[in-house]
Amino acid sequence: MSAHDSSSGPQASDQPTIDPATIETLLALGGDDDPGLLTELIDLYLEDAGERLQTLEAAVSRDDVETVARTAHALKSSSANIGALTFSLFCKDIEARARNKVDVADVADLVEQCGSMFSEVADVLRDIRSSQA
Amino acid sequence: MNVKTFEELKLSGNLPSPAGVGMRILQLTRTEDYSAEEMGEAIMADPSLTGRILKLANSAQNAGAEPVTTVAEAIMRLGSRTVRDVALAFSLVSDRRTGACRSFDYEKYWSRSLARAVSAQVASRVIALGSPEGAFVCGLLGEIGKLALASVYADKYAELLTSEGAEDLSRMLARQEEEFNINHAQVGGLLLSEWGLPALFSEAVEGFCSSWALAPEEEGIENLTMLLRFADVVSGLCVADERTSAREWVRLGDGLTLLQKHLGMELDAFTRFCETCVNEWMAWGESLDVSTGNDVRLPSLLGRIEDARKAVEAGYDDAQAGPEAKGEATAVEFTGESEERYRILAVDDDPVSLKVLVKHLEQDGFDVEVARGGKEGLRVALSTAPDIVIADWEMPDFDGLELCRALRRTDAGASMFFLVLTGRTEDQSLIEAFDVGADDFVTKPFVPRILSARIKGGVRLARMQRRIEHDRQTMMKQVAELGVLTRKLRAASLTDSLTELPNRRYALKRLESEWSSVQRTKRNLSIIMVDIDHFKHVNDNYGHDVGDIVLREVAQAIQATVRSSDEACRLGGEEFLIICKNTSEDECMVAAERLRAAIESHVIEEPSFNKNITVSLGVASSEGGYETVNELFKASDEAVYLAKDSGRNQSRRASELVARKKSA
Repeated sequence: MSAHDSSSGPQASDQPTIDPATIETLLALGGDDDPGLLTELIDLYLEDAGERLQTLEAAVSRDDVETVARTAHALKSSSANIGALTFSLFCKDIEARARNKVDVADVADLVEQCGSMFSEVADVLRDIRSSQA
Repeated sequence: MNVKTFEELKLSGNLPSPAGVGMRILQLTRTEDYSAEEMGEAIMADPSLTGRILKLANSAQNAGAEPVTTVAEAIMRLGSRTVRDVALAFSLVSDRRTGACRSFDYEKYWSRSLARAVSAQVASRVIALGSPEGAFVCGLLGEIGKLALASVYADKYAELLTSEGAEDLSRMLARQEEEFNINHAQVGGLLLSEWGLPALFSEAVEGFCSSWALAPEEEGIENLTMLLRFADVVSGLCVADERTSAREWVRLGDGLTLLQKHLGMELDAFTRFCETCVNEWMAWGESLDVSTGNDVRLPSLLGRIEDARKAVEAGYDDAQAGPEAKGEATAVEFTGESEERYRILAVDDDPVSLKVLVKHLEQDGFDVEVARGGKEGLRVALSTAPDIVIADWEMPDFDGLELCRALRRTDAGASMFFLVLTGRTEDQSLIEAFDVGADDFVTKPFVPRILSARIKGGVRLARMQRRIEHDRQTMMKQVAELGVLTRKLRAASLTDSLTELPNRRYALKRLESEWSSVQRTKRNLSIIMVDIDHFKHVNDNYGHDVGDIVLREVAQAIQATVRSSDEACRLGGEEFLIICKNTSEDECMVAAERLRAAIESHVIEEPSFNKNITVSLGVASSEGGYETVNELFKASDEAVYLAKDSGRNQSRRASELVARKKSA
């Protein structure tokens, strides 16, 4: 079940934007020794994913499917790590389509959706972050 | 003795030896009938070596000539012999850049060797002594004996380097002989002849290392040995730094002044000479990837020398460690195996994954280094030498597999446990990972427990590897130390304890082996039998104590009079034997007469004795056509009897006896 099956966009998924179990695991990983770990990871992710998203958009605009695939792959991994599972699956789909060199216009649509989806992920993460502080 | 010691050093397997193409060239030229083309082809297999040889061929001073562009042309211009020597020398530089001897500064060693090489080359051109390329080779390999001792006796040699008096050459040589039964000058000379370099080179290198004595102004630089000593002065100044003692600065400064006089140059010309040396040094340093430090210019050098001179005169001569003893290195202790903390390098381009991974590893008690990409990973891995590398497969530019492949090509990287993190699970991908040398893989997103289990497997391997390496080093050390002990024992069993000359057993063995080489090479071998006149009388009238003194003094007189290639032994009682290789009967008679005269004129200054003694000598030579070595030996003995019969204190030839028998 991948995100692009739904024509009504990102909100259609039943999954929460950020997987609470992953957040729990990361909190536990930091433990009492390193309570700031989750905050640090969120900051790292937001900065890194933001840059990659720009790379992704730039690559689409010049039909560079190779970079699209690679960047989507990287976004897929780091998003899964922070618990943005739906978004991660969505990126996985972009990666697969870019690798199969399907119609670039099709991928371009998905990348556009990707942007708004990431804004939502970022909002939720910022909320979690501020609840930590 | 040293030849034997050297044979044992070779058995340790740790002596420097030409690498790659150098080795092939060595093998090639050991066969009698190799062609210049074959050698050219061997050299061209290595592009960087080819470049260096062309560079050297073009640096020759015939500026008007067309530049050399192929190895074949280089061989035509320099001669195949020279090209071969140069190729060998270069292949040695690429080999030993680091090593196990803690106090030996390998980098500085090569830096200075290179400076010595170019200085010898430039000076050889200026004074038109020998071939500049030959001087270059000898300069480069001038102190190869030190490198050899550092390689074979890493720990013991490190101790010597940091001990007191390490900057005093003659003390160092003596300590090496005590410790290893051989010194770096001898090892250097023997290595060069082992590699088939001309005897002139090996003798020059041994002579150069044996002393710092420089030819005084009125003598001139007359041979390669002296040229190397002066080139060494220039090289010493090239690499001098804050660790160089004031006394060393002054020594080098004095040498430099002397060099200027020998070259007969005004300050201007000499400054240009020094500049040429330094420029060449730097250019070669870049080409051979040898560090050449700061730009050294004569005026600032002269300033430093002057400062040092003032310091020494004022009594502030700092007794610092020797030129190649690394001050800070001695503080770095070998991390013993008791403290087994494993170091992991984590490589991932995704900062979140990397952070999570590092956190897990730290919780498992590892020291963790990180790198944000394959290239950075390679750099960190090679500089920090971790036990385990965990790398993400998918990274832009230089991915995990490329990193693995690159590491496996290096010595240090070959033994690291390499774990690949990957989202790919297809068999084909995993096979690909194992093919480039990965040890294991973990799929992403990783399950911490599984990652830990896999790392534990890696740790077990790393631990085993470390133990094996440690055992191997201990074993090599034991082999080397056992070698020293065996040599000392063997030396004792072959040495006469009273005179410290080799004993009868040694004499007969040597004679036998020289005899068989005479059979092969058709060269001459002559021997001198020496017998003290009226020795029984000395013992009977002055006592055995005085008799022993006489024996010792005669032994010393013999040792001081014979040539360095001759071997003097005590056969027993008052009899001595001198083995003269490559010597005709006539030449040997001259030597015998010289010896006889020396002993006759030597007064034995023992209060109760206080007079000279005389000896009778018998000379026999392979020219006499003897069938066996025993006949040769017997003939020299008979010649001694002839000398005794004719009134003692004289040298006689065994050939006279043959002539008499024939005429009788």
